[in-house]
Amino acid sequence: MALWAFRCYLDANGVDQIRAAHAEKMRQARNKFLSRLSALATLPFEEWFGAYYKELHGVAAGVGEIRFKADGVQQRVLGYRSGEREFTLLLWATEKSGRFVPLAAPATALSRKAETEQSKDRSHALWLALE
Amino acid sequence: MPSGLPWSKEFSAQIGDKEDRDEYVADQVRVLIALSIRALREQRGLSQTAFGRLIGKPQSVVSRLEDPDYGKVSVQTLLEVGAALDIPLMISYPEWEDWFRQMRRLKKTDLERRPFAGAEQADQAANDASILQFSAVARDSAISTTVTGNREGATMKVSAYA
Repeated sequence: MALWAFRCYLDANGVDQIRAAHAEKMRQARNKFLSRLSALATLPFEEWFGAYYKELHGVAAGVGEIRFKADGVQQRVLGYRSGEREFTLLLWATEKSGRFVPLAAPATALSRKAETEQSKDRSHALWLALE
Repeated sequence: MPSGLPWSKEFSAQIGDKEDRDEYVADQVRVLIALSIRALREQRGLSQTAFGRLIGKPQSVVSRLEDPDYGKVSVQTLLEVGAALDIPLMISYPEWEDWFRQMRRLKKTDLERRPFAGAEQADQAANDASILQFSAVARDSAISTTVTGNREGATMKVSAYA
């Protein structure tokens, strides 16, 4: 039974930016994304931490990253806890040599977070079924 | 979600392609192993270094065992972990429904395990069996029963109805 509901950021044109990024990924990344969200959805938040999720600090404080490696690349899906049992996905980035690709991913994620906090219309429910 | 199946039609469609399904299953199994090792370690209140000493491996091996992206854990290593903790290992190819249900039970408390306890365990198993037996008798005797509990023990609420 899922404990968590996931939401995805919508840009000004109503395009789901997580779904758009997902569509461009290779098979392993797409399926690992589904697998990790399925697993996280069943876990209490404190059990997300470690290999699965990390909160960012410094200029990126306020968002966290769902972490996994797929297709030889470190995948980083940035988001934040937007409710008691709700997590909003903001941006799908990657990491190479300790740096985000794109480099501005944390700043973009924070900006998107502010948009979703101002209006629920800037996010909607995850399109994937987790069970 | 259709009754009797632990997944929805929508979910089924997402892993409808064989290669997608293979990737999904592989990652879920790796997540289960990694979370299991972490749960067993934390249940014992140990750091990765201390857990490594217990199972006769360096901390770096424990770290890899808890990393779902590592993907090269051997059966031999899992057997060695089980032996060090005195808990059994089960590897099987279940039916899809059973597999899916297991993959939704990943919480730490779902994955904690107790070491072999010999006679005490046998007594507990017998106690559990007698409780369940009483429950069945009570059900047939117009007594409403609720049995709750875990492997540490069980409590039962019994109430009669007219």
